Amino acid sequence: MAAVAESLIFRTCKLSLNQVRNVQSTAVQAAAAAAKKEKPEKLKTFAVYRWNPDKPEQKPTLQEYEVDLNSCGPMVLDALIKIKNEIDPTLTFRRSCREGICGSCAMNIGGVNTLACITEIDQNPSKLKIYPLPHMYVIKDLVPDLNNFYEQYRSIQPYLQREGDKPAGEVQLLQSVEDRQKLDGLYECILCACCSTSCPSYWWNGNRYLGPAVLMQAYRWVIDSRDQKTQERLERLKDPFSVFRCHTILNCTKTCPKGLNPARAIAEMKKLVSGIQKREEPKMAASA
Amino acid sequence: MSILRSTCVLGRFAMDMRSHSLSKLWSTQIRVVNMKIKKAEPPEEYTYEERNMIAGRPIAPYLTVYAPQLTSMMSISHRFAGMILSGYAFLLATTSFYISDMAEFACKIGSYGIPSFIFFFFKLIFGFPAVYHLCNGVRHLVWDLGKALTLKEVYLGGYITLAVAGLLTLFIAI
Amino acid sequence: MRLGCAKVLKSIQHPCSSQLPTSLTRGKTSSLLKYPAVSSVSCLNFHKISNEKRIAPSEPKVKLTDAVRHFSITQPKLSGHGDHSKLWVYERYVSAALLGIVPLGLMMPNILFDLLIAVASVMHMHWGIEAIVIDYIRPIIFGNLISKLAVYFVYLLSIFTLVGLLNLTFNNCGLANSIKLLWRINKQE
Repeated sequence: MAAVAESLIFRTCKLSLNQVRNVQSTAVQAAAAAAKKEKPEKLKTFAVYRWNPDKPEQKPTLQEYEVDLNSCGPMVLDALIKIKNEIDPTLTFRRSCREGICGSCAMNIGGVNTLACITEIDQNPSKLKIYPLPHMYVIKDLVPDLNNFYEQYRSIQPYLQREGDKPAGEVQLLQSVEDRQKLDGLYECILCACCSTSCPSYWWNGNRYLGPAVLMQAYRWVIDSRDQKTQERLERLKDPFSVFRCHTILNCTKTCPKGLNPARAIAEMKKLVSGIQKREEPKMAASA
Repeated sequence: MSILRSTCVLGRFAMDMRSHSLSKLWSTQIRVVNMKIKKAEPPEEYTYEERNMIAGRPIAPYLTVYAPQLTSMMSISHRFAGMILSGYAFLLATTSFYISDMAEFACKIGSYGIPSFIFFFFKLIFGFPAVYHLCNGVRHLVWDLGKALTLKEVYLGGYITLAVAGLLTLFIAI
Repeated sequence: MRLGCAKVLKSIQHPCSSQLPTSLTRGKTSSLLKYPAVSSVSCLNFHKISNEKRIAPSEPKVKLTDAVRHFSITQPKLSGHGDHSKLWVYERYVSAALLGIVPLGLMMPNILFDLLIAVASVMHMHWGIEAIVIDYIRPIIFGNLISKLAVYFVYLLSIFTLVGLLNLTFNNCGLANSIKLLWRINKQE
């Protein structure tokens, strides 16, 4: 009898406790839901250039997407990925490192060439226009054909060239601190092509003019104190198109997402190619 | 070679004869293949432009989308001003063949009694390209020496050039 | 051939998505990909890469350092020929000279300065317009003939301008004087 009563009391307690717990949890849920509903949707329109190579007769268009910035990362690349994940999976663009070091996501955002992964989205509700790199052949949507750019980079022979037949790796090549400092601001180039595609001269004569990115790398190898084929490198650039289509428009330096200065490199390059300035002698010879 | 082939063909024919009935004789396909030796031609090479044009790819927009900046706007104005100045030189050169005495011509125009503020206005309009080209030309020569090429210096120099050009235009128009 | 190219282009994956395995590349390029020295740079490799030091098949053992040295390079000499570097220097000299000649010549008109102004400005003008024509009159739009003709036309223009300005100098009031007269036209009596 006592046991029955005990179990009855126990069961009632348990029931009431559960009810209390349920009430509590629902209350918590209701509070959370109310809080979520209160956070407003901050919508921003992104107008993105679209072209489908599977339907080439359709002209390129600007497609608009509305993205809630409150549930999106701070960078333009986050918005593009969100659009691709949630709204339109056919949107095509290049991306890789998401930290501004690989150069894949270079595109024209709001009228200037930058990397989408390090460009913050402007929080005001105005429309943001996203185009591929200007005056490039478009493979699909925001993906340009950079083969010409890479061929031009290859043509400047971007590797160390020394006299003599000593096999590479057997001798240390010494370089003084001052000589190494000359390479600062040049070696950090990630070859994203933002600068070259911002240059009107490269738009008009991209097949013959090398462009700021490639010319900066050419300069990087010319002033490298360990390189010994300086004259050959400069001789290759004497024609009227490779270097001398640069009219110091300076769009390149303005747009570089890494803060580099291709215009300065090209100005120095012109002085070296024309012979009015000679490359400084290396302050430290390579070890024998 | 052809003897072997014809033997092969005959052999196949014979085998077919053995395995199939007469009605199927006509269905046996005997194909005589003629092989010609042709010189190997190198593969057709296309340039980057040709490849993309064959693929029908569009060119991404450029002038219509790129944001106007001080750098590009001042550069194109410099070029424009240069073209205008060339126009002046060309005009001077052509009129020299039609007007034998410039002093007489100037006197004639002067005697028309056109109010001087109109001349002041025209001098502003015609003088500004010359002065702007001069000031920006100095900036270009400084750049060619390798100086003042950081972004800050470019922008500062740009604003100074515009200010100096404006003031100088006023000065020579008066 | 052209339609075939277009079809192949459409079916080939984007070069940056992955390096295509040898089996998927077209017959033309697979021979290049067999040799470790030549890196497969572009999957859309219709170019015949003009190798200067292609590794012969008889050398099976290739060290990595040798591979780098024998790296095949394309020489896209579409850039044009000639030495423009000296011209560039002369252009700067003439521009700098003009900075001094024009104010001096306008202040003290005489035949020598007029001559200097005429020659220097026509040279400067010629190089400027030639640069404009080379930049904008491109062979890809106008064809090779018109772009060449345009450059010759600039020469014609410059010669005509020089003759006209010299005419102004010798058979007229003089170059600097003419400019001053026209500028002060309302102050003439």
